[in-house]
Amino acid sequence: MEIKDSISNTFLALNYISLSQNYSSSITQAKLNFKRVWEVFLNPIKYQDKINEMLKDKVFAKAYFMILQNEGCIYQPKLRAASNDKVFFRSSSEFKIEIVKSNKNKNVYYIIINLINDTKLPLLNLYVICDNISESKKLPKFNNKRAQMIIKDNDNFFDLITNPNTEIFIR
Amino acid sequence: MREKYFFDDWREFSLQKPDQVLLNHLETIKNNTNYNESLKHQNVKEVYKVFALFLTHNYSPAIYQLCLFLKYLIQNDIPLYSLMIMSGNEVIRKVKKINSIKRKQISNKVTLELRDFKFDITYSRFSYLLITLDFLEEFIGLEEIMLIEESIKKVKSQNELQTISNNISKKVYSYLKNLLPSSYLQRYSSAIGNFIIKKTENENHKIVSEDISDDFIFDFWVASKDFEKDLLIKTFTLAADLCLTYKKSIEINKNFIVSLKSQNDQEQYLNLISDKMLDEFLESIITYDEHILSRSFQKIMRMNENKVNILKKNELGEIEIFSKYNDLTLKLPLTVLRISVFGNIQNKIVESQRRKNLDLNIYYESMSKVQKYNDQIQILESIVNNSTFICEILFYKLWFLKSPEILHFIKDYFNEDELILFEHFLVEQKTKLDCDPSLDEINLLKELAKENIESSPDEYREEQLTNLYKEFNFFINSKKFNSNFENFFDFIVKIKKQSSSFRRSGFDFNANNKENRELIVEVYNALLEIKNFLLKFIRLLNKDINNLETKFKEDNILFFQHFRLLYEKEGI
Repeated sequence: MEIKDSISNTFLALNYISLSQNYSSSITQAKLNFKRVWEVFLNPIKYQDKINEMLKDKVFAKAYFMILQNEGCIYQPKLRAASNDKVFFRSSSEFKIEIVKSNKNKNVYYIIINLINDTKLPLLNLYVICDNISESKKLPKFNNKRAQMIIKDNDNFFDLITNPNTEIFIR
Repeated sequence: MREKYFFDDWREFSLQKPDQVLLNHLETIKNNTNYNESLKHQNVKEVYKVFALFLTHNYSPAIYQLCLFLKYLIQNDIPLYSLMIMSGNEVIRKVKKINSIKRKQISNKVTLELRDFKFDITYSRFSYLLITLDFLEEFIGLEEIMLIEESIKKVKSQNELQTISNNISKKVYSYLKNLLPSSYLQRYSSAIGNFIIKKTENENHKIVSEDISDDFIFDFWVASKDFEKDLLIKTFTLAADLCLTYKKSIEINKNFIVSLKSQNDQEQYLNLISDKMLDEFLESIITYDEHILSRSFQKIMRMNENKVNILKKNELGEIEIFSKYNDLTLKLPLTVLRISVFGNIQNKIVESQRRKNLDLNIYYESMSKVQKYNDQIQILESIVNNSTFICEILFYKLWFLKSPEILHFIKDYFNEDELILFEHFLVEQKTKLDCDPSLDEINLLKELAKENIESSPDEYREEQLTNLYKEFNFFINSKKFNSNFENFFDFIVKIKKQSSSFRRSGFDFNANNKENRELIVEVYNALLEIKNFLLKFIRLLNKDINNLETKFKEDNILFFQHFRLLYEKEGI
């Protein structure tokens, strides 16, 4: 580094530090960072309506699921071998998930989740992620370790949850 | 509609995108919070230090240390994402717990072990490294940070970590290198550097502090009209401000950089820098405005804001410039005088232009009839006299309150004979006091005033001072010596009268308690600093300039020549 460059760098540092004393943060638009991901993770109800939009950002989704997986959730990995393109029943040591066609309406399916054990975690959302595409749905209240919700077969969520390569998180 | 920025009100020098981006990064880090929404980095100075580390491109060693630190944490199942909402102390607590369970030891450091490689990281370094990590996330983004964590997880040797660290440094370098050259400040900095080279007519000239002289600053201001249009510097005050900061940068760098011979190879260059050197360098950048004069000024200013008027508002306005440039003021007294006088004149010109009634000839004529430099010196002298008077009043308050602290200042009110007696008294007392016998009278008082860094603990020091005061009180009032202090007692009588008739808003200090006495001492010391600094400034100015009257006349012609170019010519 030339001396002139070093002086210039010091000049910048002195000026920026001096300017920062009166700088207003009103225009600061925080970039995506871990803090923001934590904020969403710790306040699921607050971000309930925005989470699907947020999960469209692949970097956000990657960080979010990393935190979700490590900080406590109920999880099912991808299926190692599946006989069909679509899977309607999955089971793990933590929960069973079943996708059942409605008798009345052929486009409608029920997602039935059965927890194997009691859990102290607040279970608010059902997340599905496959090949960097992720979505979530708000869960109804568990009753006797069982929850049930409706989806339509033209919903992206349906495609994802029935895909054997999808990872499923409940939290 | 665009939001209004704080710098929109500036008449010139607008911050543009690169400058805002950097300030936003800094702002984000300063305001980062931990998981319970308390400030993550409690020590703002440390944040500034790391910020300066990045801006001066000295970040490689810190990034390398950060990689080692992350490897240690990953080895101990502390993921990187969790660090982003933890303060330094919280990480220390977590690591201490791990250390005590795994190693069954209490230590002030952790040791990363990778095959044969061992590296110690002290706990005191944690917060610094966390700030470095936060800046990295700001500069290179979340995605890169996650990739870094994945790479660090896999490494098995120190060499691999070094490679990762080098790659991160390159990314930071590339980010800043793309951002900074278009910054306004960077362009001004280049303009000053290039102007120095142009003035010396030597392409290989090594820039030194003396290059920035009073004449240089004036010439730079005038020459700025020929710079690119958006770099025109209209006010002399801004030109001087930029040049004075540049001068300070040269001085800070002189101690740090010039001593290093090889500066071509960045890696080799960084290897030559010790942590201590780097820390001292960064410290000198962030403590730029922590001069004793600035602290004194801030003290009096804060009291003024709290409606305790020690000095008047206009007096504080006159001193502000000295508190901004501190010691640089004494190196370039003429420039500071020019800022005070012509900065003020230029403000009035700008105001007249705004009101559309500007006539520079009238201004010039009126200035030709006055002696602004002498007037300004008189203003400063009157502040000195006023400070002296207020110090006397404060001294009397201490005297009246029978405060042992009078011993710190009493010498200023003795005549020569009284001073000799006082010094004899101190010599005698030294044997009675439990203090270092090698201390002379001055250092004995300094020790008792806690002016020395390694002073004794407060309570003990106060006890010593109280004992000394009791002895002194007995001494000065004794039949044997009382008559020898006639001059001093006359002064007390005089100042007692003046004190009783002295009225200033908020000025009280009558309560006889420790807080009040300490406050009087603080204010007294602050005024003393301001007074002595101003006296030094006036002395230097008189030494540098033979005749202030003639100098003002010369400057008046020069400044108005440029004012005409700036304000009478369309398009500039």
